[in-house]
Amino acid sequence: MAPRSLSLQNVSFKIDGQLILQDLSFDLSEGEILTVVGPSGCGKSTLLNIVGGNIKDYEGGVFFRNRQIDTWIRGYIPQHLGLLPWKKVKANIFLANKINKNIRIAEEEAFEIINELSIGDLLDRYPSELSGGQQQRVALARLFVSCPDILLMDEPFSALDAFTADTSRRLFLKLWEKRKITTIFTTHNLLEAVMLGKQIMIMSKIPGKAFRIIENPLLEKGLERNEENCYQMSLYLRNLMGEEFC
Amino acid sequence: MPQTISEGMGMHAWASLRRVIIGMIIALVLGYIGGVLTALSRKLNRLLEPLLYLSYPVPKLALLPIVMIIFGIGETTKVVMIVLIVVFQLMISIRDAILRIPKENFFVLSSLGARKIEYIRHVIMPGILPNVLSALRVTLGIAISVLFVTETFGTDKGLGFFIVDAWMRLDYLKMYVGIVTISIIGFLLFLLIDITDLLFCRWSKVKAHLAMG
Repeated sequence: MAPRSLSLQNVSFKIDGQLILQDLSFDLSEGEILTVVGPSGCGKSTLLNIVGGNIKDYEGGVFFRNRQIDTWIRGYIPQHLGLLPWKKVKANIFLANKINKNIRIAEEEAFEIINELSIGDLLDRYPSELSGGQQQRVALARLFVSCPDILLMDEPFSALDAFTADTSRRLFLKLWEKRKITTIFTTHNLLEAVMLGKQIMIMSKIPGKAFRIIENPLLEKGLERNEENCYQMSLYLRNLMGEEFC
Repeated sequence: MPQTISEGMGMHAWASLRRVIIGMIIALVLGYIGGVLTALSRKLNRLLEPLLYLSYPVPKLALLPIVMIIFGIGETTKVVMIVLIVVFQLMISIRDAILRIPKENFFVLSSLGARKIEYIRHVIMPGILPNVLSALRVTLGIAISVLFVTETFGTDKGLGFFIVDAWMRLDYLKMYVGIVTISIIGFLLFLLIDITDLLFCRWSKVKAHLAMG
């Protein structure tokens, strides 16, 4: 078994007395993807914001490789991508290197990522001049160029049409496979959760009240991650969620 | 323009221009600092907001006698009046513009370990620039009006003095020249703001043009 690398211990969070997360604990092994599914408002984004360092007044502990989470570089893609509209594509991609001097990536490697995502000819444009799919690819480039220790992805493909989302997902997987960065990926698309996750966390619609982590049934049963199998497993997951949480 | 009419015009125009520019720069710096602090600190905002809202509707021109008592009748009073009148509008515009920046833009930076100064440099300063320039356009007109009033007291330099002096001496030609000159100064300053906008805020124009089709 791979060593446990990302560890959440009894994490709770309240906003104005209202409970958002309660006693959330889990361990995620190094180089694995945890997909988090659940209805809107169940605390998925809150979880990412806690790990990402945007929420600091939570209770409990978050550790990565046995060190406080704040000391690590976390690559974060929010729902609306968070590209800075006033910076051109190139400046957006290399933003992390300007902010944190510890982040160093060889220019060659950075341009390899850019070429892999086919955005080499967009570098001199502003994000608002790009299509949704192109913006998505720029966000992916920024994510991987920042050489993160952990990836946090908040429904990154939810605003795209089915075809573009599929292309983006494949591009993401291609880049991820080469680096195997520990990842938390939230989604409300069960098919996506099955396609990407080694482990799947199901959160209930009652804020913070219940959660459950299961091994991806596909991988457990040794099935191939093709469309047919993923679809069947997403149905299985839906039934499971229906019984227990919704 | 015959020399008798334009005589001394350069000196008067320069005196007015200098007062407006110094006043606007001081107001912008103070408004910027105040706007950023109140936007980033909820506590400070709670403390300053009532003061801001209570003092905002007070007609600041009515404070001219008090400002004159405190700062005398010299240059300082004229600049202080401009600052007093435009600083609150700038501060409120800047604070609101910062609060309108999507939180996600800050989150991306914080997960990379950014410090507050980097939020200001990479997100706040460029993000609010279009709003700051809009606020400057509005307040510039007000600043020039205030300047005109303050220049009618305790000075023999500036276009306000020049216009009123010509008017009192029934020298209407000179008076009109003064009015046209002060208008040209306003126009040139407007142009300067537009050029800044064109150079540094192209990203916001691209968005607007795409939205308009």
